[in-house]
Amino acid sequence: MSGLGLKNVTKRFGQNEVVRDLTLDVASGEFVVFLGPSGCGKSTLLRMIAGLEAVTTGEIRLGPRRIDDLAPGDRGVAMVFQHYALYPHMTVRQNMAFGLRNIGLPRDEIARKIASAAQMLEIDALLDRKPAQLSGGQRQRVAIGRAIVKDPQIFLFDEPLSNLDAALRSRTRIELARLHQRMNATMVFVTHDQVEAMTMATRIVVMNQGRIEQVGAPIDIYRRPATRFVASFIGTPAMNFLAATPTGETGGCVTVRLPDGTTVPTAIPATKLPRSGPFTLGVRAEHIEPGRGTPARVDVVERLGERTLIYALAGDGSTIVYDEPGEFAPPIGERVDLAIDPAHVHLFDADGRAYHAEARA
Amino acid sequence: MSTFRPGRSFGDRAILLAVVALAIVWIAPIVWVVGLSFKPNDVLMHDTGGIVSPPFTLKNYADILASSSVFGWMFNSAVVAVGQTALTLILASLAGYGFARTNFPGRAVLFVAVLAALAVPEQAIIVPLHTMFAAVDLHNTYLALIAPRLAFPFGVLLMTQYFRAISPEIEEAALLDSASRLKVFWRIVLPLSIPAQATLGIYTFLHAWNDYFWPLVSATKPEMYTLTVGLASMQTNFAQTEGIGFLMAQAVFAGLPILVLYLFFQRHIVSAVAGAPSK
Amino acid sequence: MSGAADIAGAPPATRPAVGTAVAAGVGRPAWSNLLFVLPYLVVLIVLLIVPLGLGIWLSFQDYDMLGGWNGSVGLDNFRNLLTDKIFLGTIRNTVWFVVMTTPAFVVIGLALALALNDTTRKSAFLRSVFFGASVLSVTIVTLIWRLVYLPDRGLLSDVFGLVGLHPIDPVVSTTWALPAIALVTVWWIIGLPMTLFLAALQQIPAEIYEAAALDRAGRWRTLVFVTLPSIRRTIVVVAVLEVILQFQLFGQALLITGGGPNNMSRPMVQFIYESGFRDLQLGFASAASQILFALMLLATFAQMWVGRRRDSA
Repeated sequence: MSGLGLKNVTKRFGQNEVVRDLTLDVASGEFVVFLGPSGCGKSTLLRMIAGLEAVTTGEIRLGPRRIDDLAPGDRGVAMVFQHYALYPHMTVRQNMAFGLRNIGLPRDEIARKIASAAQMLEIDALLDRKPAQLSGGQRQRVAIGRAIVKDPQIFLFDEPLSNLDAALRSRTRIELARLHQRMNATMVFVTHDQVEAMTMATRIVVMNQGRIEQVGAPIDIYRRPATRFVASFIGTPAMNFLAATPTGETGGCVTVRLPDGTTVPTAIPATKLPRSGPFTLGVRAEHIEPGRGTPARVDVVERLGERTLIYALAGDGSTIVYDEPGEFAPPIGERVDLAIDPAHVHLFDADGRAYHAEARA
Repeated sequence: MSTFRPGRSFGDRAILLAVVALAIVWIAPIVWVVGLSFKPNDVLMHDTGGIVSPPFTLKNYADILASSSVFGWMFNSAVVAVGQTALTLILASLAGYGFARTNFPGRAVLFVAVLAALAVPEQAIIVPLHTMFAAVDLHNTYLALIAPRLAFPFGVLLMTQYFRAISPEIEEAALLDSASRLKVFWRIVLPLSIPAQATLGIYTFLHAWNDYFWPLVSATKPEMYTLTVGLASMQTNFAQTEGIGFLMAQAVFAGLPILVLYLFFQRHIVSAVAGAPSK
Repeated sequence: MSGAADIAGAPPATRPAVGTAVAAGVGRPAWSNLLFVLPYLVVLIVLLIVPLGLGIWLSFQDYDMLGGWNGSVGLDNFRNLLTDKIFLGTIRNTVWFVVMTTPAFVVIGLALALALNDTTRKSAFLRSVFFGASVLSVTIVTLIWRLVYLPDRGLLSDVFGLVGLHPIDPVVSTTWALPAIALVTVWWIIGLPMTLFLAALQQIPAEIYEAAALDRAGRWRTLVFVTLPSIRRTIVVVAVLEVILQFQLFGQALLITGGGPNNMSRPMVQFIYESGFRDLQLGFASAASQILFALMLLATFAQMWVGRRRDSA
């Protein structure tokens, strides 16, 4: 297994810059997820690593080798496609053998590799069937098997779960995580679904408009999003954003005022904050609860079973969502005052940069 | 398929009747010719009215079988048709894949050129084509009969369109499987294009078998006649001919191979001949 | 054409447009990929482009197989053609032929398609009757119809006799020669427009007819206001196609009437054939070919322009 290095990688389609000057290092054995909305460049990046798109400028390295000028088959890369891309006219066995035969491996070695991969993925019974005779989940395992037998340096996954229904999706997530542990393989996974990213990744690379917004472990990205975009993209329900104006400090930390006049203390050191605004306050639903604070009126209630989401309208018409454990829900239209936990307040400046509470000693 | 009918009505039956009547009119010439091919020539000299009444004879067909040139013509037609079909499939598949799925400098320009060539009718180039082949003394050869139609862009455009519809992911997967471009074409894409090959193959075969103008001017020696040319050559002096039954038997005989094919492959032939021009 | 794509699962991948009229290919550009299209391109150049250029050049030359090449004569060939009574006659014949046959193809083809647009065995059989003739070669068809048109003994005169009319011999009639050929042609190739219309009719969603029925539209109104508008594009396509095909009239005329009587049924292609391959006047014949080509292009563009105007109306 090798590590992946991307250095100043840029991709242009005509005038359109899809990936901008991207630099990233993936350690050997990591499970990295490229996460972002449609059009952010994550799939293009994956395809450049695979060799299906040419790099406009920059370098890609796998281990010590530079691979961005090599043919796709010569890179030591294996890819699982979104729609599996199995060869329809070949059996499962032939699908898995195709790549190995092309590089001239002896027959018995090919048979051995197929047998071991098939056993690992529990598809041995399917080896002589054709893709049309398989279910979606089975096809996906064959696609993974086809990647495994090549013994690649790195596995690439292009949104492999989006084709599956919800139940199958969570089962496959677990299987992929198990696979990663078993093989100790370097894996790069592309998705737009932040739940997948949060549950599977050792590190998440959040991308937006061709650039990396943040790289980090899931929980770090969750707790300390580097930009407003990351903060809005990660977490369900999405983080609340309210316009905020700094009005002074308490104990060295900034206090802000919301549009309706309420003041909210924070744990963000005043010295860290830039001088000029405008600023936005960000706080997650789980860090708001009824108490002394912003007045609001209950608008919509969503009961999820283990918790309830309550959407309330603040004085200036903006929506604030907070959650309550269990099934408790206030009646619609009732007035409720919302207290915001200062220790979990984030501030975002005009450029979207985030400022977080300092960790207490 | 939209088959909504507001119920069987008088209008429906009237239409059906009209169509059936038309069909009878349509098939009448063929039935008439087939029927009279079984009557002796001297009877037909005087009266062609009685199809269903005796006398009948197989002599006309026996005469055809005795005259060996018909088989020679069929053989020539077969060689030309098979050769043209095979070569067209090969050329069109290769070029179609090249245009649809690979990248090379000048691809767009060349493709537009092929599209433009579609507008050129056979008659615009037949005279210079003939001169060219005459200059290298290639007339009256199979090569001369097969070659010109290979240039028609229709096959390439059909295959290009079909290859484009195949999911690119499959080819990408093959590239990642270390397959060379040629291997991707040969082992992955080509097997998936069998329906299009069938359509193009049938279309080409039919047009090659029935081609008239070019074989007329290129195959001038009787031993190189194709079926269409040979058949036309036997129809001299029609007004004074004595062998009407013989002529009718010729028509039946010449049409038999293709009509048999039509019976067996009707669906494919119809979709090939009619589906093709619309694209 | 969807079998393979279905199993593979995906519609073609969405990728940013490259900005050319042709969709982007797979993989990186490489000169070696040119090898795929090279064999066909060579054939195209040698057997289509070169003859095209040669033909255009020839039309400006005085080139006679008997007299040899006597140098360029500029527009003389064209001038001579456009004052040649016979050639002008062939233009008139060809245009008249196209005018006769194209509406017949469209109307009869459409009528048959409308009548036979269902899945019953009866309709399938009838469709195959009408389509069957088109797989026959021109020489077989002309042989059959020459027999039909035989004076005194042909099917046509038999039928005329049955009805009590005096039989006419279209082959030697100056008025009926070309229509006789038109009849043969429509008989021969009606299957093509019929099948094209059938395909178009089957694209119309059933719901439109159901809505029309709920709107209490009778058969005729449904036809005029629902069916025909839905297939308008196909009507134009069929018309354009038939014009292109019938401009190329050759075999039927050559073999049934020989172009007579009195040059009243000689089409342009026959003129090219005779001047090029019988009289061996290559320059002259090439010029005639160019004029035919130009007329065909003109007719095609005119039709498409009219069709497009109606579309946006």
